[in-house]
Amino acid sequence: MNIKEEFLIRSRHAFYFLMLLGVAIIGRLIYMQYFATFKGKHWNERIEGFQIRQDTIRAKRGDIYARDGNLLATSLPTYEVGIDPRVAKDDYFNSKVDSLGMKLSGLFRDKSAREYAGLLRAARQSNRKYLLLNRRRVSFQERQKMLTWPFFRATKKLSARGGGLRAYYERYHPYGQMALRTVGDLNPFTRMGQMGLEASFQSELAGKNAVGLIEVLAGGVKKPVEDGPDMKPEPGLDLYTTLDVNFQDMAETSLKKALDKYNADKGCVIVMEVQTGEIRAIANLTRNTGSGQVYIENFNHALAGRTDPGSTFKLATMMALLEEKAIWPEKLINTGGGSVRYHGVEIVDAKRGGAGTITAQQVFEKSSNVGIHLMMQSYFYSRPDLYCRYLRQFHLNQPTGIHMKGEAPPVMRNPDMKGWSKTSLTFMSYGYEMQLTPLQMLTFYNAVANNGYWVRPQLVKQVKLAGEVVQEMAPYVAPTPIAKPETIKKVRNMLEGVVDHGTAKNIKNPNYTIAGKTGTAQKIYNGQYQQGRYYTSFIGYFPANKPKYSMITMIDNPHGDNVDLLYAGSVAAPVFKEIADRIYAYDTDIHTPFRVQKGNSRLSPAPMLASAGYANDLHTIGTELNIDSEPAVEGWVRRKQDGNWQSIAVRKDRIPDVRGLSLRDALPLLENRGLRVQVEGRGKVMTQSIEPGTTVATNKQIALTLGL
Amino acid sequence: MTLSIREFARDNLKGDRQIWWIVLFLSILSVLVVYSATGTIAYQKMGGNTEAYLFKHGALVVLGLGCMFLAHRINYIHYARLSKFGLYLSVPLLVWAYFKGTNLNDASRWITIPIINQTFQPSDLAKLALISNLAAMLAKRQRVPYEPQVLVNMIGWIGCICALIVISNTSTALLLGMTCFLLMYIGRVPRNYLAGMVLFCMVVGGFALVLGQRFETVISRINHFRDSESIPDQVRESYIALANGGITGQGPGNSHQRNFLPHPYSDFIFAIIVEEYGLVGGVIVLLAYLWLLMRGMRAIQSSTRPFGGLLSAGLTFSIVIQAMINMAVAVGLVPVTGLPLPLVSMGGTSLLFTGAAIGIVLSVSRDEADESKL
Repeated sequence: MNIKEEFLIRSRHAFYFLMLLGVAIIGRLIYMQYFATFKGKHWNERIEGFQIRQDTIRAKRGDIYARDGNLLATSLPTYEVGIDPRVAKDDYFNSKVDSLGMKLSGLFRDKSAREYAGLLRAARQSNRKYLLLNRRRVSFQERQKMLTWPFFRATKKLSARGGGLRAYYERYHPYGQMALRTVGDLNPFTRMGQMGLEASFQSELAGKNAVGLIEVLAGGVKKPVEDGPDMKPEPGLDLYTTLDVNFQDMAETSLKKALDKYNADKGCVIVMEVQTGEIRAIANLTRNTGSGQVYIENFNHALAGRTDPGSTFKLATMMALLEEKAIWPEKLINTGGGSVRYHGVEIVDAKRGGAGTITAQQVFEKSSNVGIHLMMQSYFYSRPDLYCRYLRQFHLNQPTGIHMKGEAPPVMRNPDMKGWSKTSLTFMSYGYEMQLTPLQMLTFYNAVANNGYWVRPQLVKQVKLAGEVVQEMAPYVAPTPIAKPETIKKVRNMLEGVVDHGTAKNIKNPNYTIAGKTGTAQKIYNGQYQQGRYYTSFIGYFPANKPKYSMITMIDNPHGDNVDLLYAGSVAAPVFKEIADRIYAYDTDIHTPFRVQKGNSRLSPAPMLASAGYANDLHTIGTELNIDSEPAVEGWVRRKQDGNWQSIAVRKDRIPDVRGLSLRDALPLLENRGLRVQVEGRGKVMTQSIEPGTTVATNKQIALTLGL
Repeated sequence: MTLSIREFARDNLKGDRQIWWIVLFLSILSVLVVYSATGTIAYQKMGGNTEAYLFKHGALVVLGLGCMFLAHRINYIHYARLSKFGLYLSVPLLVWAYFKGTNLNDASRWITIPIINQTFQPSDLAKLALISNLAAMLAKRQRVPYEPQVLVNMIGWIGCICALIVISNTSTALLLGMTCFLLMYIGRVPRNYLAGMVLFCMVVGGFALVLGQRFETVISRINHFRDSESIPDQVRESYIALANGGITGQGPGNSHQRNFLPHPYSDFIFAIIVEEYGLVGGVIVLLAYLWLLMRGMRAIQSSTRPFGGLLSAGLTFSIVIQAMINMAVAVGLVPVTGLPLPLVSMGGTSLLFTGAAIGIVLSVSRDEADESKL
């Protein structure tokens, strides 16, 4: 037998051996597939069902921002703490379970460490898939801490895992109750906006949840079933509102103060930018019938609080009359003794005893019901339709169309409507027999402030996604003015007159001018208008000559001892002024620039105050204040007569020249040379008792006189 | 296009065409099954990026084929010398891996190559080098009578390498020892020497095992295997996978047990193959390996000189024995070993060295060489 043949025979033996092994493998395979049983069950019966379930990954709801970038509403995650006790390996579980129990006990403080460890052990024993460790969800900060805990640590080793922190987003308002009714809130069950902007922009804010079937793998890892769509939710869009946190704060603070003072039922303030209709603040406070705070935001009076506006509506009547040239500001009206009977209805002026014969302008400024009635009677009683057409022209019979759910449409009578009576026009002329919201009235006044151009109020300026503008809301300005320019000019003059010498002269101030109108409506109780129960409001704008902001302040049902002091002029107008003052102080754009009077020696030339100092300090100050006369030299410097800077020689062994320096600078210079410094006076160093340049002798005293 | 591929293959892919086909079949199967089997781990470790493993594994398969291509271009006669060099290199590498290597799954079998940051198992290199070298040594001794010191040299190397491997990886060492034994048996080593070798290996290996890292694992695995009541989790899940596969399987990508089976992409990949492609698929894969072995052994018949035949047979035996053991583990015929299924399992160096081994087999089948220079 040659070598090759022997090789072949031997290798064939080996091959047969492996072939036998292969047959054995196949035999065993078939046996395992169809015949083998383990604890009485075939292997294919032991297949564990997938944990397949429908899973929703919630999209993060968009944030609501104030105009200045402050967050008004955002979604913060809270985390449900649970564990799959089956995941970890035995030795890991046994060695770490007590430590986890201790940490859980320390966090939740409701069970002892041993109780928690016992819970975990029992759950593992009974092979539970999920153990909710506590009903309380933990905050993000707590979660970060928990991510270092055993079982919760991020590790690739499944043997050391099992802990799960499932995020739930909850709506959080960093400013608490601020503008709550406008920003809105979520329905706790549906998680959809139930009011305010949250409801109005629900579809934008909500984003898109990702819904799909998932398999739950060991360790709670989720894996989509099949190659379904990626479970990536689309985040909601962010709203950038026109609200300004500062304005809002001013409005709420002042309103609350007034409500407290008058123990009123409710109140509302809206601040709007005249040209754009952007609402800067919208405060709605109602007396809380429950416990807790006295006034809370639980109804949006600005949008939905319809009522008789009262005398503020006289502006509309006045404008209609002026448009028809039925009157002119100087026209004399005899208001008589302040009361008139018409068709069995007594029309009374607030001012007892009447105002006698006054001009139409004064009728408005003093808010004479009789005067308005007489003017109305003289012209529109024969043309009621014409009057109503003007109201339409003033956009007063339609909702403003603000992008917000819940605006109540106005109720305004027409001659062809049911319930129209002979006295309807009279009542309407001074703001009764109608239902208007504060926002609708403010928008009307705003149009007057904006030279007759009606602007739709707006609350949302931009819709953004991750900083990118998705939608820009441009202001809507009606193309045609609501009245002729001369009419606007005349009524604006009247509105200024109200503050200058009319019903709101108490809010007149020297710094800036306010124009506006008081409104005191009697409230209906048991179907009767009641004396002493008022709905007071003040609507106006400022600065009167160049209106930047329009505002309404409303205080409903103020209480007080003196009924005469419960009128709008005393109640609502001061709130207007207080807020307007603060806005005026805050928004320097509306300030009239100071004019520097020529020849005023106190201002020009600028006084040389800092005449010496350390160059670096002076440089910093100069940069900050935009003064360019900075020293070009280094170290300690002094200003010369010609305005240039000269450096001061500083030698360790010589007395330095500290004249002109502030004491703060002079002291270390001298004390570092071992001198004892005596100081007298205030200001900068005027004289020093030892001549500069003399040799320093230790422990010597130097006296400085301050006073530059 | 087809024509040009055919031309390219004819001009460049030399050697046994059937081996090429078998490797191609197993490579395609490998990519399919590994992609499916890594679906779960991709969600656990890569945040759902299932393609990450596909691309990495696909690249390594191609690289393995590249190794094979390069190896088959070299005249196999050079492997006699290269293998000697490989042996000398693998000793320090094995020692280094034991003391300083990367520790994965509680065994330090890996060396991390610094720049490409790829882990590398020196035992793969040692295996290839030892078998090639053994073939060369056996070939030289065919026409002269055996002297004890020659055998001592052979057995010395085998024992030394196996001992170095056994301290960190028992089953690889056992497999290598078996392959060497088989190769020596084919290479006509007298019976008494073979018995001596077995004895030597068992004594040295036993010592090394007790002193090494894996003794406890081996004992527990063997105990588990003997105790029919306590089937280890992984084997249990593997049985479920086999049973779930039935005759025709659940279809590609439809494995259920990949979610429960540890290392479904390497140690237990055969279970996934059966689950997805059924008994039919499992038998085809097994036959493919046996076919490969037959083609590898053919070199003995066709070559006129012993080295080529022994080299080719030795390398194919080592691959096919490993495949058989892997499959035997999956069906529970032998205790759990942790050996990958060659050419199919995911795993970097294993794919590359298996590719190189097949390349050498192809090189042998490719042409006759003048073995007198050995």
